[in-house]
Amino acid sequence: MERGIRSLWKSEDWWAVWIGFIIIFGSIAKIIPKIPKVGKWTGDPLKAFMVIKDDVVAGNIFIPLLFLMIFLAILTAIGIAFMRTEKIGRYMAGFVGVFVIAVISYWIANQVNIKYWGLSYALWALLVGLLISNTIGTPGWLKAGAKTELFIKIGLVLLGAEILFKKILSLGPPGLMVAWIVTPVVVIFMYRFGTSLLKMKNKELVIIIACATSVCGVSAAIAAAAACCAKKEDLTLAVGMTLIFTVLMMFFMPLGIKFIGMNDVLGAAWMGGTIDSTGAVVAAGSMLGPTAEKVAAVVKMIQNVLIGLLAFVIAVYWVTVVNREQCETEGRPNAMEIWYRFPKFVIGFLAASLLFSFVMVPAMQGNFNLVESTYINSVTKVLRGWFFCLAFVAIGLESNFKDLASRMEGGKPLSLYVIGQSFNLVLTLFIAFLAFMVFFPDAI
Amino acid sequence: MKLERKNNNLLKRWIRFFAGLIILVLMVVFFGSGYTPPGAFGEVLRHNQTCSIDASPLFYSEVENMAVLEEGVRELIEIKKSLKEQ
Repeated sequence: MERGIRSLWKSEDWWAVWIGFIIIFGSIAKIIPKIPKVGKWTGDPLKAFMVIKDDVVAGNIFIPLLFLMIFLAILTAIGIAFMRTEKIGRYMAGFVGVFVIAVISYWIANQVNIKYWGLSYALWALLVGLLISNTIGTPGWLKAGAKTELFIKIGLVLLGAEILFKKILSLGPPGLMVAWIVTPVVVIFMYRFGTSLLKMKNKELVIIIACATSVCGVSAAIAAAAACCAKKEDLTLAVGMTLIFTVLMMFFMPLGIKFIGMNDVLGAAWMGGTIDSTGAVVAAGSMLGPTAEKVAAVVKMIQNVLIGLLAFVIAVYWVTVVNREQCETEGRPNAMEIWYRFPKFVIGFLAASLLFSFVMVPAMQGNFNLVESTYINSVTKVLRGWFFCLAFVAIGLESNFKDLASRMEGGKPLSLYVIGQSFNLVLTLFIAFLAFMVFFPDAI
Repeated sequence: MKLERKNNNLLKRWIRFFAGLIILVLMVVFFGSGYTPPGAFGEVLRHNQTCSIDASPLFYSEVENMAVLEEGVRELIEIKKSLKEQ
């Protein structure tokens, strides 16, 4: 671990912050143009790469994608050159391979019918990576470009820009009750349950599953994994479980709510607080009607904002408590030791969130939509998606089924997810009932 | 002998790769075909198809019409407030 001033240009965490903020300031200064993204398609696969204006093909994104690949390769290679973790030529060649697989993953995920199933790019990126690594084996040149941690950390710093704190007030006190009271309780319950009752040795896996279950699925899993420096296989396992259960919950929760004739707003708040990913929440909420769709989406959004705070708390808890338990012989770490061990990208993550919440939004007269459409939607959000996609490809390329199987500990992670989610369902329903039916019945 | 074993291993790996690739392609074809399971299990999917709802966003900012949904909630709150005042 690099210490002192040298860590500013030698550590991956700080490079994630620098690269993240180069992109953020580039977006604010409008130096970085609109970032290309793979489009939607139904029957014609090439349509994903076409620019369509007024139903007419106006061009394609092949050249912009090429420039994007070069831009990202150079930007990340600067950090790698300073850190000296890889030879630049080797990294660049590997990055091209990883980027191509990321494009393929986005292309699959953007097929319209696949989107209806809620199967995101994260799943396809993981599957393509796992297919290569577990059959022919990931070649050395490709592995050189698979910088999972760096991609995740840069993605998280950029994600900070999308977390606008004032959004937590969108639904008033009942929204806060459902999203901000239940979530920490479920995280603590699941962590205690996993470590004390199930006696899972892998505490990182426990906290990742807890965060994925109670906050917002894949995004929360990524943030928690990075904050506690978890292994890639832990993240793969948690993401795999959350993706499968999200689809199941999206299918069955609205049907159950309709079947028992539950109040739409209560049902929407329940689904918003429990279904892991936002897309699935919107789809499930829409089944109950337009009001439920809006309420469910906003409850989920309020919960999403927790991700930054949670990452910070996990990072602090890990460096002060868990790491201390794991290295008992080293004794109690002092403040400097805690600072050295603290994952610095979390600071970048929170700084980006604070910058956009308390500087950019007020600078735009409190207009969230204007901030999002001007700075976030066309640059930071799209690049964050690319970095996460690259990270999932890299995770797949570096994971193997044997390691994944060894982490199952006789099915304990699955038990943790199922029991934790059941607790989440019961508690969220109870609090949502109190919030929307008892304390604030006239809120919506 | 050693070379033969090495070639056999390599062949096995490539066979495994193509078998996996076929499974992946079949998955893409199945999920991309627009098929929906019959009965209650496919109800949400059919609803998503009819209303063009993208269920894949991982984070709230990825939902295309999030601003509209937020605005909708604001309007609902305002309507409730004005009704209460009346």
